[in-house]
Amino acid sequence: MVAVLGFSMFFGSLTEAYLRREAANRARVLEEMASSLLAAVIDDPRWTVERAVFVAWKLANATSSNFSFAANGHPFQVVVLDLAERRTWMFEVGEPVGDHRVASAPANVIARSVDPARVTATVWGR
Amino acid sequence: MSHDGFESFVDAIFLLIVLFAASGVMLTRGLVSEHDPRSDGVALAGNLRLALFRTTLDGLGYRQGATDIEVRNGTTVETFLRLEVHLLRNASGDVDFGPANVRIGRIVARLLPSGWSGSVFGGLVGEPVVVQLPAITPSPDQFESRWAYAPVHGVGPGTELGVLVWLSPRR
Repeated sequence: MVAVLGFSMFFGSLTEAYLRREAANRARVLEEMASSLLAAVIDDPRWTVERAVFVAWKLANATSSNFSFAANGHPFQVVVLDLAERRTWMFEVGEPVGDHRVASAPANVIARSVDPARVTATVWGR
Repeated sequence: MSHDGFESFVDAIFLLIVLFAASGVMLTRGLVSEHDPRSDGVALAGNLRLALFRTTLDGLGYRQGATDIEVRNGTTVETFLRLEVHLLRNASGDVDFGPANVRIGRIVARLLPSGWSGSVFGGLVGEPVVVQLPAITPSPDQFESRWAYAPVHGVGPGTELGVLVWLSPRR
């Protein structure tokens, strides 16, 4: 009776520890992926003049496939929001299911003036 | 209780203690350290300062005495704040930057990601802050990014502008 109780407790805690570790690793991978995706967007000279300074007309030429490599095949969404003009550029791939992590950064969009903007990168994964 | 029965009972208690300790160790190893927001805070403060100070605004101005003064369109927030600090410290008479400060304070709030609060501050190097937008009390656990500038007229102490960010309190 004591052995059954003791071993049940031990294997239960072993399972619990394993599940926690797995969840933490998954979250960490998603966090890193979201950060990589954000960096890929704000550092790309095809639509920025310097880090996190977007050129509006160049951003309009960007496509979701430009960012896919940074998400490593996971569903993702990138949103660049021009806070002055209320314009949004959205790039997304895949069905947003499962756990997700978000990385965000203040930025600027050069249009008629240099507007304040915010970039948000979200990556999903199971 | 017979001698054999007593020995079995003691063995069982020992087994329970050992397994209890092993379970505790397993659960402790499974504990996950929380993500440390400090590195995020430092990066956010730097990025916020750059994004805010690069922003250009039209229609900025201030009131000096009874006169409304407009600065040229496309003035950066950085330049305007340097001017504001200079005038608040050196101008004679009343200088009111109220409406412009409200606009800048709103931009600060909108640039921040959810879960974070922040403000921009300015003053002369080595002196108390004369501008803080929005005028809210920062958390003691704050992250800062500041930059010093040469004095406006080339003499006297330089100007210092910066931003503070902190995690918003839970509601």
